[in-house]
Amino acid sequence: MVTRSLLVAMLLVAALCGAVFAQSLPLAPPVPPRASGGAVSHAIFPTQTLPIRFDHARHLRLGGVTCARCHGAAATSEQSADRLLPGEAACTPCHAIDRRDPLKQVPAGAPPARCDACHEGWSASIPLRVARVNIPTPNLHFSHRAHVSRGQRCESCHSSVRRVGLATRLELPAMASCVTCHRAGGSAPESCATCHLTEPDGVLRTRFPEGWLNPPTWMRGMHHDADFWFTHRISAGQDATRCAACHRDDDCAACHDGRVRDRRTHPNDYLTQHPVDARMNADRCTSCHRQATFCVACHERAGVAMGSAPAARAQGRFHPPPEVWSGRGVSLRHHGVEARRSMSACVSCHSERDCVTCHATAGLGGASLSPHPPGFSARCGALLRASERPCRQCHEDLESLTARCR
Amino acid sequence: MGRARRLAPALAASLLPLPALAFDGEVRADTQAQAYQVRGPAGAPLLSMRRFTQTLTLAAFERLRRGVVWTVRARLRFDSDFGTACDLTGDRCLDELNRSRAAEFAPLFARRTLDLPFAWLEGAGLFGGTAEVRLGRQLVTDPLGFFLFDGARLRVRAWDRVVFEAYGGLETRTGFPLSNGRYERDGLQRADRSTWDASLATRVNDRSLAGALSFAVETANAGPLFARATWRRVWGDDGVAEEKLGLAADVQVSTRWRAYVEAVHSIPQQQVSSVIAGATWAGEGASFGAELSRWRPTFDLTSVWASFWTDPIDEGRLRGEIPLGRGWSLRAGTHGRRYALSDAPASDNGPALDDQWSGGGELGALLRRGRYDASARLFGEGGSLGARAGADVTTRVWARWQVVRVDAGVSAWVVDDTLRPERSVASLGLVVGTLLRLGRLADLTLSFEDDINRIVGHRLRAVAMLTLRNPW
Repeated sequence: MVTRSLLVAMLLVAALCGAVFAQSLPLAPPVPPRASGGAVSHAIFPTQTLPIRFDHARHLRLGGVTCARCHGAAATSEQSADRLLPGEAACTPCHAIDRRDPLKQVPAGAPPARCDACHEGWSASIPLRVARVNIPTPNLHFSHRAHVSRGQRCESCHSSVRRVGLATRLELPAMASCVTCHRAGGSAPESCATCHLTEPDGVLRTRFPEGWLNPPTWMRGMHHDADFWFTHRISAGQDATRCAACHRDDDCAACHDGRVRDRRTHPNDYLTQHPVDARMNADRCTSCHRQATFCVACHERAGVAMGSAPAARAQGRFHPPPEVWSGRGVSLRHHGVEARRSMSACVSCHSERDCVTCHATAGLGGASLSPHPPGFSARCGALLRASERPCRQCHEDLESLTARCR
Repeated sequence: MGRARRLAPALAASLLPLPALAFDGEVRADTQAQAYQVRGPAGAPLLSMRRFTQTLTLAAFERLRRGVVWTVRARLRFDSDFGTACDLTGDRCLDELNRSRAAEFAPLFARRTLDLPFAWLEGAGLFGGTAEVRLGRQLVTDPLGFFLFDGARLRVRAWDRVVFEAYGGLETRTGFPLSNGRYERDGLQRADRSTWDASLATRVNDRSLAGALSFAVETANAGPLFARATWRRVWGDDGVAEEKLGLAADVQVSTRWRAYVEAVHSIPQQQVSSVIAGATWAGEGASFGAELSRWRPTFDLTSVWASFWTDPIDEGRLRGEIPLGRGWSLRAGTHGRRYALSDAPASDNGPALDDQWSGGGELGALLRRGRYDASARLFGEGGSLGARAGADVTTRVWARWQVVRVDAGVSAWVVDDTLRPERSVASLGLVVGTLLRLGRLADLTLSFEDDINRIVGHRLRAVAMLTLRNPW
């Protein structure tokens, strides 16, 4: 009782400390500075085709050339699908383009006017055809107007444009730069669905023809790298609500309910190697299988378990010979040692009655061989108070046991 | 009193019917058929498995004003195993469901089951976005592990930085209609014995109801920190089946570094059942991680296993992934395990023993480039409990992008079973398969596997899976 009170008190103190500590934390998660911005997702910004020669850095160094001069519609754009590239009309004030003269020569130092000065792959044999620029619609909600109206400058999100020639996907903002404002306590909404596309139930849409949405590397272990199938147990176990932004219960149940074989954990011919794997790594098995149900059901049918039909069990003994397995001399192949290091393996074949047969007190027909660890009598009281049932399986005189354990 | 007066309008506003902004739903059906063979360790009996699994998931969502969303989500599953277990030497098949054949009766084997993995109604965004309630059969995932129960769960965000959670109800256990007990803690074999003769399969306990109660507190909006403390108690007619306390914290220390720690304490057993601590580094395409853990198996406290002598297992793991360019990446990992037998002194119950060890490693190369996805892996793990080592190569190619995918794999394994040397074997495995995307709403997956080793000869496995989705 004292222990429990102590634990509850510790829990409350830990929670209080946590809350106080949390209050003192910065609201924003540490994210890369805007300049680096992290990787740009192909799922958000699909691959573009840009058969164009253009030098942003050079143009922006010219006096009077601003972003708005060529991308005038950006400031009022409401959707990510809006086409914000400048048309030819934006070029003609400086470039003396004449479609009737696609190879037009201009004086030295003047802006070029030939078609192939800008259009890669242009051929004089098909003078009025240029390769099409293809910039697929980004898979997110975005309003340039909303950002501009709140005082955001173009460079806030497209800072590298001033240093590059052709602006590509790499000049589009990564999520790291968004969360400087879109965060808890920030100046913009923190909800994922503010920007990300969602399925009808509000879960983020993660599968796109161009790839799948992967959380960024700075998001507390949520990045799905090659080892994530193993490491996700920590992320999912601690902060399942964050997983729920993209995943439903179906996703957990699909694998962890033990009905569908996952080939990463169960490679070819796993049936042959599973005893060795289970003996070494029983804790891994339990994340998808309940030994006293799933494993026992199959082991009984296959003739491995104690409860198997005699006809099936007669084919051979599963364990080492009785003198080694349960004799007086304790070697590393003794069942007591095997049980201490891998009790889960025992449960996958045996019911508790199989153990009670020998480990019960003499009054209950056993050999009074104690299976308890050293020092057990000092802490058996709490177990006895939790449940008398297991004690009754082996001990006849519960009253004296209660007195001893108290 | 004044506080109550302020809360009343908020409560009323949340409960009043709000005009719906949108109503959506989704139906998903997964059909899986499998056929494969399993042989007993001595070569008999032969299980010829013919499995058929059908799941149906229904979901409906209604978005209301003020950010309130009501969701219903339910999954129903029919799982059947029409396979037979045949005693090859006796030349007859076992009759595991026949109660008149007491010796062959296998009560935990069910030819057909119908269960409800989850079915709940959820209200989110209540009380100005501070509360969330879920009613029905639901799965909880937290440091204490999975927990499936029928009941109610409430989450309330307070002071913007802390979430309080409470849930309670009946644990979903084996033996009840529409329950499979998959997430019930291990230890006891349970079934519905009401229709059997009392003398049959006495090792199997009758089903019993168990109540569950849990409280948790966790951080919210705490930027780089997430922490959760949780307590759960499960009890039934036989007493307390589980009472655990879990503490977990996860900190994104910098843009690259993250550290986490997690501990679970079994209160009646007065022992730590697991502790995990680790750190990761993640950059552009590259990631590294290190983890130390101590784990001790825990069982239903109403079973004898909970008071048996178990020694902890300590594990250290290192892993890393490095991009090599052009879609290639290299992955490596290693781990070592100590079976801490020496932690316990010699006593009347057992002698002093030395620790036992196992360890292993993995080295793999992955290619993800456009329509190609391939991996090659070397794996080895061994120690005093046995060893296994192998290599596999798998490829996935979209023959038609997002329409037809062809999968193929080959593997070779060597298994050394120290407890049963006659089961040590080398095997070769081949697998081929395909995924056919039948429009936007259906996927058909087919695979065929042949495992070859000296014990079973050829073990064949065929799997067909059809997935249908229909949003409305």
